Amino acid sequence: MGKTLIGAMVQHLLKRNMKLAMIGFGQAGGKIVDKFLEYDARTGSGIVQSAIAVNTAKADLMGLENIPEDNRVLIGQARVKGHGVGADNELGAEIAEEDIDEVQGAIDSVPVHEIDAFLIVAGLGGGTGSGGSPVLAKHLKRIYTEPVYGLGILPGGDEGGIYTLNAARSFQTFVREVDNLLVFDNDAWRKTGESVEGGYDEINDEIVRRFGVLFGAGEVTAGDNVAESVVDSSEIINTLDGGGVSTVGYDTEAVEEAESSGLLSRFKGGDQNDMETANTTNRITALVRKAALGRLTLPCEVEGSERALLVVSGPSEHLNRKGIERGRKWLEEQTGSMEVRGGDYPVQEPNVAAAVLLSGVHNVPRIKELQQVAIEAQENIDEIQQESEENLESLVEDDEDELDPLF
Amino acid sequence: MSWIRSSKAITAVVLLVIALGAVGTATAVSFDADSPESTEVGETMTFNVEMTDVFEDQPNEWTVDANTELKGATVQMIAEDVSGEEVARSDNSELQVSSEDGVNRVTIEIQGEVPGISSYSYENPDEQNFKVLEISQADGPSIEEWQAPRYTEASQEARNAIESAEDAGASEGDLQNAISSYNSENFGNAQDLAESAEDSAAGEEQTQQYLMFGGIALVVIVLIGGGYYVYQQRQENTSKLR
Ligand SMILES: Nc1nc2c(ncn2[C@@H]2O[C@H](COP(=O)(O)OP(=O)(O)OP(=O)(O)O)[C@@H](O)[C@H]2O)c(=O)[nH]1
Ligand SMILES: [Mg+2]
Repeated sequence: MGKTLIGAMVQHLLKRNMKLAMIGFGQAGGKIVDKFLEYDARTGSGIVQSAIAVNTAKADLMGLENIPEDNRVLIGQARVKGHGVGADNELGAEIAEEDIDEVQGAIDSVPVHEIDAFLIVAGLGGGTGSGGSPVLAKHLKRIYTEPVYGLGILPGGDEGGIYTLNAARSFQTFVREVDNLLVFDNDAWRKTGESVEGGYDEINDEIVRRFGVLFGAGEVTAGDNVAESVVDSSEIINTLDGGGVSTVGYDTEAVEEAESSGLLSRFKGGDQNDMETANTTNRITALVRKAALGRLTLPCEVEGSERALLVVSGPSEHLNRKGIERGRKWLEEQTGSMEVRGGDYPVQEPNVAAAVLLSGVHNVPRIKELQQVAIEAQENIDEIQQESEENLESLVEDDEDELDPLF
Repeated sequence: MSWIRSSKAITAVVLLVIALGAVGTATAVSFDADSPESTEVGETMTFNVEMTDVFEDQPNEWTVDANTELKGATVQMIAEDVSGEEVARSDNSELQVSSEDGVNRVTIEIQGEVPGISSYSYENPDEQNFKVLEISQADGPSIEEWQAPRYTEASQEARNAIESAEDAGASEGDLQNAISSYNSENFGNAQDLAESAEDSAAGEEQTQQYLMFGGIALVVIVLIGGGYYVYQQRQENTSKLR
C-alpha cells in the first residue's frame, strides 16, 4: 500500500495527462468545448485547464452551459451586431483579425505555464469558426511556445456547397497554421436517415469521449495502480509533433471489474493465471484492430500514417504489457510507420477501451472529395455571379444603349 | 321402634344427609332449555323446557305453576314416568305432580305473542327484557325464570344506528342526543341523530385519513424523488470510456 502510494506520487511527478487551454470558435466549437468541460467534471479527467468561447453570435454564446461567462468573447459587434457572419468565412476571418485583442484578453487569464497545449475547436463549414480559427492559430503561434492544435469539424455532405467550400478553404489554412489538425467528419458520423442537426448531441459525446480518453491518458489518481507503461502528455505531443492531419479510432468493451479494488485485486492481478492472461491479451489486440479499422473521426487509410499512438484504457487487472505491445506492433505493420507509441491508461470502471491516434495521415479520400466538391461549388458560384451580373446588366441597360447615365 | 332400630334409622338419615350434602347439586329441580332468543314485539314465540329431579327439595306432591308475560299464551305441560309413559297433563298454567305417580320428567311448552315494551333503555337493554316463563310452586316460591330480549323494528333500527355511530367514534354529545331520543321512544329521531353523528365522525375521520394519506403520499413522493435523485446520480455517466 505504502509502496503503491509512493509509486503513484513519483509517477504523478513524472507523468501527467495533457492539460489544455481550449478555445471554442463559432457555434460548433463552443458547444464541443462546453461538452469537454462537462466530461471533465463528470469523469474527473482533468484535461481542460481553461475553456474559452469566441463567437460573432451573441445567442450562441448565451446557449453555453459550462464555460464561465467571463470566458465568452463576442467579437465583430461593430460589423454584425452579435448576429453571426452567416457562413461567410472570409468575413469571419476578417473579424477575427480585427478583434484579436479581445480574444487575447480572455487568453490572458490562462495560466499558460500550466498547460501543455492550446486546442482550437471549430466547425469548418460555417463562417465564424471556419474563418476565425486559422487566424487565432496564427496569432497564438506567434505569441506562445506551447503547441497549438486544432480540432476541425467537417460538414455533413448534405449541408450544401457553401459549407463544403468553407470547410475546404478553412481546412487548408487551418492545417497550415496549427501544429496538428485533429479532424472529425460529421459526414461519416451522420446516422442514416437522420440529419446531422438532430444528432449533434450524440456526435459531440463521441467527439469528447474519443479525444477525452486520448488527452486524459497519463492522469494518475491516488487510488490508481502504477501501470506498466502509462501514456503521458509528452507521448501525445510527440505523436502530434510534425504536423499534418490526425484522426482517432476507438473501440470499447465491457469487462467484469474485480469486486474489490486495491490490495486484493492487486494480489489477484499478480495471480492471474495463463488462461486469464491470454484472454486479456487477446481482448486488447482485438480492440486495437477494431479501433483502427473501425470508424475513424476522419475516415482514411491507416497505411501511410506517419506516426501513431495507442492508448489502452481499463481497470489495471484487465491491462497487460503483452497485449499492448502486440497491438502496438500490429499498428506498426498497418501504418508502415516506425514511430508508433503505446501505453496504458488505468481507470477504475468495468470497460476496456483502445484509442488509436493516427497522425500525419495522407490517404484521405474524404478531403479530396471535399476539395473537389468545393472547387465545383466555387466554379458554380463564380458562374452564377457572372451570370447574374450579366443578367442585371441586360436588364438595366437599354438595348440600343441610347440612354445616358445620370452621372 | 326399639332404641337400636331408631338409632339405626338416625344413622341412616345422618348418612343420607351427608351423602346428599356431598352430592349437593341434586337438591334442586333441574331444567333443560335453550335460552330464549331476542324476538320482535308481536311475534309468536314458542319456548320449551324439560324439568327433571321434580321432587328434589320439593314436596312429594306439588303444583307446577307456569307463569308468563307472553300475550294470549297457551301452555302445555306433560309429566312422564321413567319409562316415558305420560302420567299427567295440563293445558293451562298449572299441573299437579306427585312422586307417587312416578313423575320423572315434566315437559313444558309455552307459546304466545311477545308483549309490547313499556319502557325503553338504550344503556340497560336488560330492562327491556320480558318474562318468557317462570316456574314456581303454585302460591309458593319461584323456582326458575327465563327472560328474553325483545324489540320493535323502529327501536332496533335506532339501536343499530346508535351502536354504529358509537363504533364510528361519534362524539359523546351527539351520541347522548340520539340515546335520549331512543329512551323517550322517539326512534326515528334517534336514528337520524345517530346517523348524522356517524357521518360527521366519518367526515372527521376522513379528513384525518386524507391528512394521513396526504402525509404518506408526501413521504412516498419524497422517497421516490430521493430515490430518483440517487438513481440519477448513480446513472450519471462517470465513465471515461463509454
Ligand atoms: N459535430 C458538430 N458539428 C456542428 C455542430 N454545430 C454545427 N456543426 C457543424 O458546423 C458547421 C457550422 O458551423 P457553426 O459552428 O455552426 O458556424 P459558426 O462558426 O457559428 O459560424 P456562423 O454561424 O456562420 O457565424 C456545420 O457544417 C455543421 O456541420 C455541433 O454541435 N457538433
Ligand atoms: Mg453560428
